Amino acid sequence: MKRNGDDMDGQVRECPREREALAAIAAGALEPGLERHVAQCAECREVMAVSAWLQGIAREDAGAILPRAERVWWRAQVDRRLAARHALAERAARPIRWFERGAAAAIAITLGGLLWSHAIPTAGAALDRLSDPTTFGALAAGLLALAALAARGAVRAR
Amino acid sequence: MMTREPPAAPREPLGPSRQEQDERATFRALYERTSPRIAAYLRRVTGSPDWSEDLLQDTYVRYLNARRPEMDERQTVSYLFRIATNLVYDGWRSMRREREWEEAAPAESAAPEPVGLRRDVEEALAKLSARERALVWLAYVEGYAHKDIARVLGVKDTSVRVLLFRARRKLAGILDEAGLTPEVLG
Repeated sequence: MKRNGDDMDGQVRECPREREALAAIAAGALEPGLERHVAQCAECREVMAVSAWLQGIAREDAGAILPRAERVWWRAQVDRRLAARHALAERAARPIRWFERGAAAAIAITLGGLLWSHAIPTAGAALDRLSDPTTFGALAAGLLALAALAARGAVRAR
Repeated sequence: MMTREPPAAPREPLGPSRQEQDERATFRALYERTSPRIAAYLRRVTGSPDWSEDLLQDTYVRYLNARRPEMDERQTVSYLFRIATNLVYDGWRSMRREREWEEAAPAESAAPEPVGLRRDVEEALAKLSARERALVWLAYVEGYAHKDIARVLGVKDTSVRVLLFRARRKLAGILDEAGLTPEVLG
């Protein structure tokens, strides 16, 4: 019987009676015709050998002690409640997130407007404007606010 | 003289509803029928008794909390095998050991060493990849057809035929080399 990897020719070989043989093994009896076939068929013999070994260790596993159903049930209840609470917190935080986005947009528009009206006309004039404490203060505050929002977003994303 | 009514005693918190009791009983019956099969599968696929016990619980927790369609018993078991398989794969992915799904790696076990023939078969199984172990287990212990295996493992029906053939041949070869013929089993 060809079994070892070295002997493999890469061809998938199946016997049409494999499933029948497996069902018979599960039922615990091979009828004489099938028994004769298995004795002559290398594929069926291989299937039955592998199956017999695996079912042997499956039978030994049958006595294993498993966690109790009640414990699993309660874990599921706790998980479900935690998920519901998390979903609720998410929903409650949604308006705050929208407010933050709105604030960020308002700051960006204000900054854009300031830049447009004060800094863009000429580079020289813009530099002059920057030396004006009010304009510089507004720009610095806007940039700081944007940086804070971006940092907060980065922390949340993590 | 008027007597004041004593304040009403605080009501006892309500116990589980009738529906919850029924659900719990249904679950307990399902768990008792199916968990030995899922546990054996997880144990063989992971090669780790401790991890497989955690995964068994996770499988049923996920099953209980999933929105699932109406299923008969056979479909439910298949669904449980699929959840279990996904959890194994996710576990390995989170440990950045995905390759162990497709390639053999020595199984880790904190449990006492099994003895005799069982140890020999476990060593033979450990030489297969986790996917190969899953394939042979589903086919030859659970008796699953190719299309059912494909659904559980998330591969094509046509691939199962080839993968299963190779896995079976590999395991048969390892068992043969170890002198584990069916006659030894008796």
